[in-house]
Amino acid sequence: MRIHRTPLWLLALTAAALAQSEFKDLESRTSEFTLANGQKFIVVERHNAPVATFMTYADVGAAQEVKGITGLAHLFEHMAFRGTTTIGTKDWAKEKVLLEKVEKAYYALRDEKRKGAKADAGRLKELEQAFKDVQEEAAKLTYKEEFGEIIERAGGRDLNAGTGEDMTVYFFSLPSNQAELWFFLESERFRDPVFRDFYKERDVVMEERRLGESQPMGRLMEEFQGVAYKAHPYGEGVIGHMSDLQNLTTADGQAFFRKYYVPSNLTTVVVGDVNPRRIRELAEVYFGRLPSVPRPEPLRTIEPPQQGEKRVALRLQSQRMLLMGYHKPDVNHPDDAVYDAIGSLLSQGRSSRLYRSLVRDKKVATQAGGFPGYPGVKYPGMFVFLGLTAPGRTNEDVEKALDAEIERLKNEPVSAEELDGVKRRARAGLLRQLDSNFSLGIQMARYQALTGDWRNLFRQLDKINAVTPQDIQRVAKATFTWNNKTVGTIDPVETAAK
Amino acid sequence: MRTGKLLSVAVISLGLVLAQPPVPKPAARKPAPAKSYKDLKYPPLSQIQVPEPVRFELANGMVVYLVEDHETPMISVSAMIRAGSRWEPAGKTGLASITGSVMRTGGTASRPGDKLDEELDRLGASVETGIGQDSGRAQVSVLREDIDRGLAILADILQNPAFPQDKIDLAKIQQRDSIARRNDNPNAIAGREFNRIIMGKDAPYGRITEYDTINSIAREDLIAFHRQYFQPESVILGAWGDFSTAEMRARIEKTFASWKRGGRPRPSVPTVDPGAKDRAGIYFIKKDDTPQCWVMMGFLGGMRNDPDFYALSVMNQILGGGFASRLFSNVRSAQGLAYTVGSQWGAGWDRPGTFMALGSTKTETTVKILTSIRHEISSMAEAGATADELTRAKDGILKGFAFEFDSTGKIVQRLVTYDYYGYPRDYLQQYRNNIEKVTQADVARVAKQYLKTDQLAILVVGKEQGMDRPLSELGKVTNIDITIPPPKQAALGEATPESATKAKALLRRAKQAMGGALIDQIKDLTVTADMKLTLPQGEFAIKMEVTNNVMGKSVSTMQTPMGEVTQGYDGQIAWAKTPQGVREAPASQLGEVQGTFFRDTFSLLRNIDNPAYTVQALGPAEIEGKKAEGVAISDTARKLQVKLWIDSATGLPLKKAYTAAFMGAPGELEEISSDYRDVSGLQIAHTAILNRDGKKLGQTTITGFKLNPGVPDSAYQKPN
Repeated sequence: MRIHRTPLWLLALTAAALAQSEFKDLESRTSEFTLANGQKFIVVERHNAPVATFMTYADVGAAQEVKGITGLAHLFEHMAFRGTTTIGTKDWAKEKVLLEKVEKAYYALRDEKRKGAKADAGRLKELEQAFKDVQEEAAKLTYKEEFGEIIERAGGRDLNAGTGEDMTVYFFSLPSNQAELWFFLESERFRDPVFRDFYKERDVVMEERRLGESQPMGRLMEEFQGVAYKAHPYGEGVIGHMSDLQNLTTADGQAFFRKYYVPSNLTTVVVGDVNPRRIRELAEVYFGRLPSVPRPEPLRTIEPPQQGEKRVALRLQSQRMLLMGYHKPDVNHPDDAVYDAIGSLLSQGRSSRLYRSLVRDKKVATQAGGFPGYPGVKYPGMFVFLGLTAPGRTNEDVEKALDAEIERLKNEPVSAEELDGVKRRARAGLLRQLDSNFSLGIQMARYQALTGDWRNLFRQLDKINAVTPQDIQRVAKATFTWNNKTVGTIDPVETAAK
Repeated sequence: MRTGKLLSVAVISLGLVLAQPPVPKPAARKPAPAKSYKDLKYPPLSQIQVPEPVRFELANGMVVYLVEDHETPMISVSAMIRAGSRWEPAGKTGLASITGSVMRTGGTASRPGDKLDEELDRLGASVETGIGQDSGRAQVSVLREDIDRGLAILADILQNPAFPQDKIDLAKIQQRDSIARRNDNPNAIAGREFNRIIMGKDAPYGRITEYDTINSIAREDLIAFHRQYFQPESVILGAWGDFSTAEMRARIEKTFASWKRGGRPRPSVPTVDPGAKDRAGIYFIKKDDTPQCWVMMGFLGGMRNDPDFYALSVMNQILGGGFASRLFSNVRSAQGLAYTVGSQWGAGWDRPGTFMALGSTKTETTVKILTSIRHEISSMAEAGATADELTRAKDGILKGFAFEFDSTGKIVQRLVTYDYYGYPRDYLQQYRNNIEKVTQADVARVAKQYLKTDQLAILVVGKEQGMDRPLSELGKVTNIDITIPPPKQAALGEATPESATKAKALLRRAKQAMGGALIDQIKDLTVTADMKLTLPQGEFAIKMEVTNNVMGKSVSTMQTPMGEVTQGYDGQIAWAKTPQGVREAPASQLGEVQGTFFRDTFSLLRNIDNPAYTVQALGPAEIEGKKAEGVAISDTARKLQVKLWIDSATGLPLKKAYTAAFMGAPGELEEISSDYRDVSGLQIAHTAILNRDGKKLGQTTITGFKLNPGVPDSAYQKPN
């Protein structure tokens, strides 16, 4: 249940005046409130059909992990589907006792394993069996997938969640008359979660990791991130290292939950056929129960400026591809919209520069694009370029062609016409996202949590509208420098990298 | 303005929120949270307001559905066209897809593709076409004010695609890239090959593109495919968005009025391979760089208009359709065996689909997950579902029915699809009613009737080593080879005088680049080289010395792991001397020997004007990332042919390709030359890579070179 963060939405507008009228209606259907405990709610009325999408955006992601617990933000997301003291159990009083025994058995086994070569083989076997047995006993008392079952019975749709570097987001949709069901379930899981089947779910996440390892691009991205960052947690992928996954404990999960799943760290968005007054009432009743706890300390580490070019070259049973990135500022930097404009100029549509140059004319790649905001935007992320190298061409050919386009950005002012296209595409692109409860909800939640105001979703268009050709040149010159460059490549294992 | 006022209230209230809760006021009696979700009482669901699409048919037979939706100032169009890869000739698999893509990228005579790209991107609009397996699609998305342009572009590319050669070539590069990448991800392999197992690997619903099928596609094929399938009576178009129905109808009528009926008959639906009903077995595909095995099992499914479809849908929902399904909770949640696990009852609209259950797990638990999934299928077949499971699955579908109407696009496109496949307009309502009627007995009956574990085709993709138990313990295992077939040598067309002239000029340029007149002065030459061969038996390093003379005589000595081997040809007799003695080659092998001499680069360059040879230009190509021009040289009398690619920048040969036997095995051979150095005034490639059938066979590195060493004739003759 890990969704990959798409690069920050490329949003723009030709005329600010137009933006006002187009989005005013939506703004007028949007209301917001904050509970006494600090939890933020945004409610958007859309009465096209009697359904609603509910979304909890937790301002915590893999970037909040430290060495040793990588993968925990995501594993917690999985645990949030395992229920509470009243959901997912057949008999909580009995199950509670068994879950404590599971913990004891786990630690006994772990301690013996830690002795390494000195571990007693017979004892190890005994402890493994004991751990297995007590888990099975506890499992008899779990009501498997009750959480999902309740939602299915209600006619719910799209139950899922996603973890990124910046956030963890939980969502599903319901027929709108059952809004209270969402309030009940969602408040329960963040008030009273039970870490049952923790070690089984850890196995599931390890399978999810293996799934990524089976994909050449997944392997390239993990290596690329690791090379590009030396200090900031963006260097670690969301999925976590296998050795960390193998050692995560329920205690790690509890501590993470207590620290980050506090109401003031949660933004909730409801979009659909709902009455905002009723939503507020339900929010007070259900989420008002969550205790008021101070927000967690912000992340301290800032990635220092890169001192020189970095490279990682993989050889896999795969065709060639290339990932190239440059560090850039975070989403709240005044130049954020300039990066969005550059991304659009380079990759949106068939007339975009990279498609035209690399795919259509030079034929060095079969796909090419450049995107701001990898692996996240909350902290300084990267502007990344991706090229799928065409048959018979080398990664070097792709890199040279990308370099040429980057130099063009720096040296030639973009024409007024081309920039106008960027702005029109941004406006149309935003409009296309407004007719779905889900995409509207996730956008509003992101802008609220990342920038402090959901209205910045629309203001971003004004900012893109204000971007000048000089801005693009200035930002390109400052960002795309030799010492700020990281390149990751895949070459087929049979042949030497060129 | 109303909107502005409300906004300012919201902003003010935000400032007050901590001091005193603003609107709305809490209810008089403070409500309490429910103790259990079971205690919750819900108000009735609001009436579903279904916008009723307008359907009409143009005089030319095109069907149109329209629905207004004024939420955003956008207009969308989505059309289905009766064209699909299931109607393309098997030998040209990929034709439909390339046609669909080049219709858009190539544009029309009056709207060239590149211009269209710019025009649409500047508008923030999109017009796209594509052809899939069962149907073709065209889509438009524009801001309201651009709808006339969008429709005009759509009408033009549907009727008048230009199919320019450069965009066909570009589409072919994309196709070849997809072929090359198709074995890089295990899940892609599993999905593709499972479908081929069921549908038949060469049948219309199973076949895939290959280099040869792509290479065989010419512009005329695209023109013919388009002409055959694109006619107004084959198009069903849906549009929704910010328009008035009457105006939009007038626009569409006007834009498409000039498109005349084609009158070509509606193509009949190709039937599924009869053998598809009988694919039971265990299949294995080796993919040794993945930590996970993919397991898929299933058989031929059914159709949506089958009366059992509804009970089967409910049954599948219980088996593997969601978080609460048996596969999810028993294989994933309870055992932690997989991240991906589930099943689907694949029902086609106009031909059977595929029933499939799948999971991916670490190599060490492959057989465990396989048996677990199979167990869930067989227990469903034996005992059916519980009453509670039935209620849950039906409630899930029926209570969530409102979601079928949460987007106008969904509503319109659904009707277009029903129309395309000949389903009634109220099919959704019928579906709902039929789901409602499904009983526990129905589920038990269809489970028993359809889920036959002895009919399962079971595919495993992954590492051979490290499984918990060998697959062979489960039954006979059929290995599937997914090696990508390299392209066969393309058949050459008739050589035209222009192409011969061009080819000769290219060969002259190569001759000039390699040494010019000096080449004509070669009497004999000796090359020493190190050769590394990668053969199934292992790696071999061979030192060799080869002497050729201008009369076509040759002698070579090789130091091999089996001892010294000398081969010679004196113009009449070919012989070999090994530690076992001297042997004369049979006359049948002389052709191969002559071929060797024919293909020698210097020999080719000395014979540019040889009247026995036909030469023709093959056009531009890319060799190892370099621009090159190809030339084919044929000696039709002796049935010899070689292709040579000459570097456009340097004039030096980059690659040679020919059919020949190597170490006794015939195949398509390629020599890729690099590291040219000047030796005695000649440019000699010091490294040559030898490929056979697309796989690297070896590499030769030149260590010494003697021009005109004057080797005596006796050296070429069979030793006594």
